[in-house]
Amino acid sequence: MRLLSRVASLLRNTTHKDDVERDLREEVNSYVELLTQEKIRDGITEGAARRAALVELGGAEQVKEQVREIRMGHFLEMRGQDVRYAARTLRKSPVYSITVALVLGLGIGSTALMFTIVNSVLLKGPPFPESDRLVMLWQDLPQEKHVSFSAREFIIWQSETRVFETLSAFTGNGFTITGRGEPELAIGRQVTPSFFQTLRAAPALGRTFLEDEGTAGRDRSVILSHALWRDKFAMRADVIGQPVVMNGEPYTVVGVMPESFLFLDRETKLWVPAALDAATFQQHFDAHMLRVIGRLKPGVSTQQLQAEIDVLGTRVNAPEDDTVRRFYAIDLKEIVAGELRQPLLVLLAAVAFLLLIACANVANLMLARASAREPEMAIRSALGASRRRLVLQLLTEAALLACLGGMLGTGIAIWGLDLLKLFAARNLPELATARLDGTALAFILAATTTAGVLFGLGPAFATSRTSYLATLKGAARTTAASGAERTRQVLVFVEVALASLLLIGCALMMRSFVALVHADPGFRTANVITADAVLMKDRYPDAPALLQFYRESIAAIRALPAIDAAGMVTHLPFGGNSWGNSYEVEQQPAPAGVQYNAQIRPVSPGYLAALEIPLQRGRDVSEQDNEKAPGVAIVNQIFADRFWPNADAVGQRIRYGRSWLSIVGVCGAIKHSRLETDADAEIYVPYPQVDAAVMQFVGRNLNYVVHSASPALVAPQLRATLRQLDPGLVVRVNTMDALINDSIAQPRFRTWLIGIVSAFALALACIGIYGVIAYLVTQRSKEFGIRIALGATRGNILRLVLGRTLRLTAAGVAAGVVAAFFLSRFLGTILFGISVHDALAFIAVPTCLIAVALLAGFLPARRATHVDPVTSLRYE
Amino acid sequence: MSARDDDFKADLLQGTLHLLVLKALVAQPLHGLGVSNRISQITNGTFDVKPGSLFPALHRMEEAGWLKAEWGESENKRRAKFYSLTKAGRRQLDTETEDWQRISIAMTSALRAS
Repeated sequence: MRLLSRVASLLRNTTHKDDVERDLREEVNSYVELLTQEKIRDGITEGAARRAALVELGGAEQVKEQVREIRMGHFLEMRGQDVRYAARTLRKSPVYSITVALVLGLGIGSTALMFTIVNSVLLKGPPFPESDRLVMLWQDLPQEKHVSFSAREFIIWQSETRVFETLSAFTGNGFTITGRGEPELAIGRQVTPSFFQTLRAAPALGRTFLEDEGTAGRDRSVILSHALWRDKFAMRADVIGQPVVMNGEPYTVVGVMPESFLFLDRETKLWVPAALDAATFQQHFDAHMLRVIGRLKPGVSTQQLQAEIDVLGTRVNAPEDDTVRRFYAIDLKEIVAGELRQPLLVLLAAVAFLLLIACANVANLMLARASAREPEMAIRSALGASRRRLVLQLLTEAALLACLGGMLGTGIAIWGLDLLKLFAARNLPELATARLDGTALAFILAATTTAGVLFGLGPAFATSRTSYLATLKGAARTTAASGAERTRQVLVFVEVALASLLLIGCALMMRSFVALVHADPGFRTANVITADAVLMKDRYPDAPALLQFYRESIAAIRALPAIDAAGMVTHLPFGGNSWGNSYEVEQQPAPAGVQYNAQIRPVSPGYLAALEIPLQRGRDVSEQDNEKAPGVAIVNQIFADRFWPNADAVGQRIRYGRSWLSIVGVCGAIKHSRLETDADAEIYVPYPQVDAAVMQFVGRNLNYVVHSASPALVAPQLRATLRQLDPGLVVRVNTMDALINDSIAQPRFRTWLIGIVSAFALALACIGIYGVIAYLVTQRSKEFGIRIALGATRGNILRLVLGRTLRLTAAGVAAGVVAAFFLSRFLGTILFGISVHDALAFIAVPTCLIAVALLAGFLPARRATHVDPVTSLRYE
Repeated sequence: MSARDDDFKADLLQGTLHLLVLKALVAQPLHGLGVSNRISQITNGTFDVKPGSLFPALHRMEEAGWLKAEWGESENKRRAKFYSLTKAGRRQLDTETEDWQRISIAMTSALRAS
């Protein structure tokens, strides 16, 4: 109790300065009062007595000031002594100090790092003012989910909205910039003029779009991204007003966005106004190609938004269109975080576990050290050190270690963030803006302080409880020490349990990743080279021009040596683009309110063969299936099974455009954009048979697919061949393997991260096990000596110690496995191809962990077998 | 009086004062004025400890863990802070008494020596 009151008084001194001050004032006042009373008793009048008392006091302020100095000086002197002493002690046992600081640093650093990422990606939200009012709108159609808006739907909604302050639409487009060095293909966005106003994003230079730039003929303005301004315009300030030719049309630069501007992706290099009354939009008034973002008026509730969605959702249909649509809004914040939420939270939980393991480990190390220092403490106590001083001393040491750990942790977090940015910025654009900010630093500070106090107090009290007399006598470590040992065993149990939980999670994610890597996309990927070229409107104004280039290029590529298969497709699997459309099936009309949608792939003959997409029935498209021939199509297995599960699809007719197409073949289904998702219904059509007006839209991106035994040789030839046909063409060459690899960059990244975290956890758990067993061996060396003297073999001793290790580990592992069994369902959404209770992970991890633990226990166990009975008994 | 004399006197008093305060508190807890009066009484009026040195000494000794302080009521029902000896304080009194006696004997014999 006294110890507690001491600590309390210390805290009062430092934290409740006002209370101490008041106490002192009252004390002095009471002195004056008592002195006055005394003088009155001696027969002096009250006034005179008080004056005399004050004179005797000699100035209340001076007295108080002197007392304050004493208090402060004493406190500082003692703490200074403690710090100096602690530093000296820690320097004297560098292995212990470095281990503790490292373990703490790792725990704090990785948690702070993960916290920073989660904070910047999940909590902070998009980098726009009042971004919680920004929502994006989508619709679900009967056969297709998550569909964009058509121009018609957007215009109606925009004019009738009551809940949105501004509503803007945007769509992506490629722009070839010519006349400024090498032609360059830049990804751009066509946006309605209010787009930047909706985001409340201000330009770094110039202005954003004006309302009348959203009309046909006035829409030749462009806003540059910081990157494009830097790369193409050398960051010149006089860029505003300069002409620039894009897709063969003259544009004028009106603004430059700041480097920090980031909306959904980092690839967008420029913005131009979307004139919804221009021919491109008017001709495809019902094509779902506009994405919509709106800023809600302040104070609009979810219910009000839903009410508008319910009302306007029925009003946007074209006449005679009875499609049932379900509109919905998603917060921009959700979209940005979206898919990352689950993996990031899992990772955050993982590092939190790591921090816990680190804490348990440090506590363990400190407890071990505290018991090793019992004699020292006993001597200091016997020499007159008060308990309070000893406790403060231990606290100071712990605080010093925690500070070291905190500094290390800060370093690890800063360095790790840079490293992550290097590797992952492409998959996680928000990471680029992530910084170790005040919140993260506050977290580090809090973690450090808590760690310091916790790890200091525990051992400090444990030590101050022990009987010094017993310790000095050497009788030692009977009751108090066994309490500490129990604590240490509990800590190791917790460590092992957490580590096995983490490792099982890690194993699940690794197994899932391996499954992902080996997932069959449905086509051949090895030795496949792709070349991607975009034909711009200025040089290829219409379908005949496109077709001419298509025929010349595919013939030239087929003529290349060392090529054994070649083909062309407009929307390459894992190439980042896709084209879906509604369609009809002859004699199987869609039910009322339902619209059939499928992926449509204009291809050249030989495309299926080049990717080895199996042709299960019928024939491939041929050169004879040209623009003059009757329309044909190949459908994939999924499509065929949906409509003709028991009949032959070949010979049936479908229609996605104006004319009916005869199905001439059925091919295997392939994955188009992600390995994780299932294949979709697909329709392959001969490229020349695409409707001339539609080809303007979807027929400008030609992807050549070539299979060759010597890809390195073919890649430059492919580029050269295309450039020879059109020197102004931007050609990107890739391998199919690389494209697929890119598509799983994120799962790979998070698997790496959790792998690293789990490796740390395993290492820490091993240190913990080693520590406890090593301590046990030291402590019982006499007993081992006696056993050996009485004839125990080395094998007996080894078995004894290892048995202890096994018991210690097995309990923790068992607890971890049980916890993992119940917690692994949180991994469900990010696992692919394996069950959350994957048997291999749940068997292999515990087995490995126990093996590693036995190894950690083996080192001290071997030491136990080498105990010399004579030496150990001599001290008895 | 020179500054050096002042310092010397202060040093001497510092050591003495602690011992006197410890001694004054042996019998019972006392408040500040009580300590002052008690010292005056047991030294037959030789030492008259002024608040300016008394309070800093009391607080320093409290910090050192020799005294503990508690608010209480004085003999004439006034609120006052009472100081009492702790175990460490009693030990300190013993040590300092011994020291003092040693010094005192040494000094006396030193002064007697011819």
